[in-house]
Amino acid sequence: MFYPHWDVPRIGGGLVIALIATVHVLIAHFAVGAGLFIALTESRLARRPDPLLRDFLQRFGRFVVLFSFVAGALTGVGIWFSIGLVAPRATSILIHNFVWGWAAEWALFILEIAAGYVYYYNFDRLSERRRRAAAWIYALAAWGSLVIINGILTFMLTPGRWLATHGFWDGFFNPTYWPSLVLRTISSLSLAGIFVAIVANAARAYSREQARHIINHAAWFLAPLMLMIPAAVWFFAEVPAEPRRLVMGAAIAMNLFFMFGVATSTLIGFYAFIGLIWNKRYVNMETAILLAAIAFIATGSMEFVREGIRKPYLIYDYLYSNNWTTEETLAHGHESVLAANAWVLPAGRGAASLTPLELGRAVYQAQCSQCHNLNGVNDVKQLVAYWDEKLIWSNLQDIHRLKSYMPPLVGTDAERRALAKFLLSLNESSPAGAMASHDGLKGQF
Amino acid sequence: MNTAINPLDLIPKQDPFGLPAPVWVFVLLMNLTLAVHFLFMGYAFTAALFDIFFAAAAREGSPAEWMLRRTERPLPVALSFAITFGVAPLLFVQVLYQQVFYAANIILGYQWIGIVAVVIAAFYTIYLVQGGRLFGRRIPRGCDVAGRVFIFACLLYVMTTLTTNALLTMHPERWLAVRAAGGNTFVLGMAILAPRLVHNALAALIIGSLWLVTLGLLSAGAATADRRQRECGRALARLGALVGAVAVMLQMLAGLGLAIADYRAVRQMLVSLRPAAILWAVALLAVLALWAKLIFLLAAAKKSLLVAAWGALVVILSGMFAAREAVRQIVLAPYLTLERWTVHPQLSSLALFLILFVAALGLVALMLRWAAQTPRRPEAP
Repeated sequence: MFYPHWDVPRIGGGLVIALIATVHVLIAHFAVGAGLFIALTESRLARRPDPLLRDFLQRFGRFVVLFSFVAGALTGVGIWFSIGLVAPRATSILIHNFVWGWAAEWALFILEIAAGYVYYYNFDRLSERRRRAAAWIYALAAWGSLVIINGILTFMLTPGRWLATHGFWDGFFNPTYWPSLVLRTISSLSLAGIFVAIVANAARAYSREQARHIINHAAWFLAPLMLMIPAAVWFFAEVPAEPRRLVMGAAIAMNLFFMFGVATSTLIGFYAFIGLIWNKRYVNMETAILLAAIAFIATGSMEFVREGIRKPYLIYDYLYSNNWTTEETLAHGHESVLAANAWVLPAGRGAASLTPLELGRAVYQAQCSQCHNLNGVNDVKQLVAYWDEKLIWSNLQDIHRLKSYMPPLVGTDAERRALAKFLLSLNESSPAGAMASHDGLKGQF
Repeated sequence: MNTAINPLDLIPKQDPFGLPAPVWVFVLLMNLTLAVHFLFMGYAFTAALFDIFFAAAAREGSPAEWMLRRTERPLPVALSFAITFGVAPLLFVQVLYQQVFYAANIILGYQWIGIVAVVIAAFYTIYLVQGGRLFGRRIPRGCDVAGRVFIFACLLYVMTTLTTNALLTMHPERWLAVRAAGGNTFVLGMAILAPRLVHNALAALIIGSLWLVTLGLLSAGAATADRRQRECGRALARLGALVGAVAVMLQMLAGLGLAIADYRAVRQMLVSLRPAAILWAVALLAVLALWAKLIFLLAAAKKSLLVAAWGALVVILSGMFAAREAVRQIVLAPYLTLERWTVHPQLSSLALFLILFVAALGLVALMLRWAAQTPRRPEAP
């Protein structure tokens, strides 16, 4: 089961996914929250007419169409494209297990987009009742798509009973499904509230008092952020022990990103409640943009944590990040990693004809290049800097015990030794490294 | 470049999880959604192309300006639905052809993922140039035309990349050569790429032309239409019919070229008398019928002719997609066959999808009915 490797110099494919995914999550959550904001506001207008809010809904609808229907939809496609490029085996597993979930989500996309366009393009011409109905159709379709994708996303961290049954619903309604749905819904509502502040300020037609009226109405959508901490506690109570350990301190990067995400979300929630709901303060454009930027960084932080604590797996307890399953690693972990992987061998040559350094490079490409780069992000050169061959070798032998976020190394003894030699050759500062790179590969990395 | 490698050694193993429904379900869904994608994409492609010339010729109050405003308005919605209905066939093709699909994507690499950025750029450019005004100021004609050229170029890029990807999935023997060239599309060989690309572009043009005829006739026949709208609407319809008729004639030649390029597979399809061969033969007859309808529409813009033309198009798309799928399976037979998939039905999740899909279509139809019942505004300008 070997695919070619998509090489992205310096940053690596994983960061490509992360960048696209962070942008998409922000916009997608906003689209969900915006739908609920519009629908709830329409329902409120039916009980208490408010020409200002009604006017704002039309402007906000235009913003939703321009922002989420374009960038949101296409970055979603971008995630899909990028995971197929970076982790095709994992993508295939997800597709073959959850295709009907994705198809159901797609059906809701059709409904969401149609409802959004009907609402926006016919705002002044539909009756109030039909406009309200279109708004609710959009809102429920958007939230429905979140309900579905949440199952697939959480499955990757907590596959639950799927590991034994391989059943669709066992994988879908996995241990972190419900807390994650609550977290994402809270996030969606808050993003809608923040962007309302931006759009209200951007509309030159509104006075400061008018903008404040709109922002104070939307402030209630920020208030649920106060529940971020209990929701996060619930989420982490359901994740496996090892990922929880990473967040709680074993991996400082995870710990810091997690704390930042929770802290900023909670602070924004309290600011919303005290400042906007209680004291009915005004939020100017600069503050609104600052809140949006903080929300973006908080979203990215939490997504980074969610992805990071899953290591060394792509699908927890099933598929390692080097594209070997746990079963395959146990059964065949000491067999050749290159035997059936024609993609990593140099042109026109079999594994037997390679020099040790070339063999090591091939093993690196087959296993390590999924997550590591040379001269870039997660640079393996920096990780082995100043190590001699003995230290590298002993680390490789027990890499998964020394670092819980690393998968076990796979390959024959000769392949492992070749990998050690290759890693040593990257280490230019040591005499051992200089000698090891004498084969002519020095300077190519 | 490792020319000594057997392409079979490069093809990843079939996913052991198998299929959650029989092969025919995915083949049907894949081609059905692809056909709908073509309908929307055809409009987007053709309107983007025509708008270049309309924008270049547009003067205050001219028919070209009217046509520009009329055709650019549905463009964002058409592109949005082209993207949405393009997602589904990509989903289903991954299920069936996972082994060759992902490998082809990776070989194309940046060109493949570049689709995302390119479509975003095209989409926002559509909004920027729409109406000929930006932040209240009239866009200079040169910038307007340049913007529309950019939009069309983006859509052409997407078409080329998707066509290349489809071809790469069918030709594993070319993988290493294309990969060694850094994902260079043209290493595939113009003999393979050109016939299919021309065929796809002409198909988009034919579909789009039919849309223009439809738009033109609807505008001309609208209750609120003034004399100018009626005249311009009929002119747009005639223009669409003319371009469509010419495109169909060119497509007959292009189709012949494509059949020659895939000669062995096409011959095998015909000889084996698969249902696809019969559907394809019927489609070829429908092509002639469509051409005739377009010629008649040139002479007399009648709604009954238009309905018949759309009917012929549906038959054509059905036959062509059936033939396309048959040819793909024949070409890939040395490497993989769909019959090898094990099936582990997921009935409840399939039911969920079908229920949501039918409900979604029903609600969309309801909302479109609401929109159609709203009071119409006179068409601008």
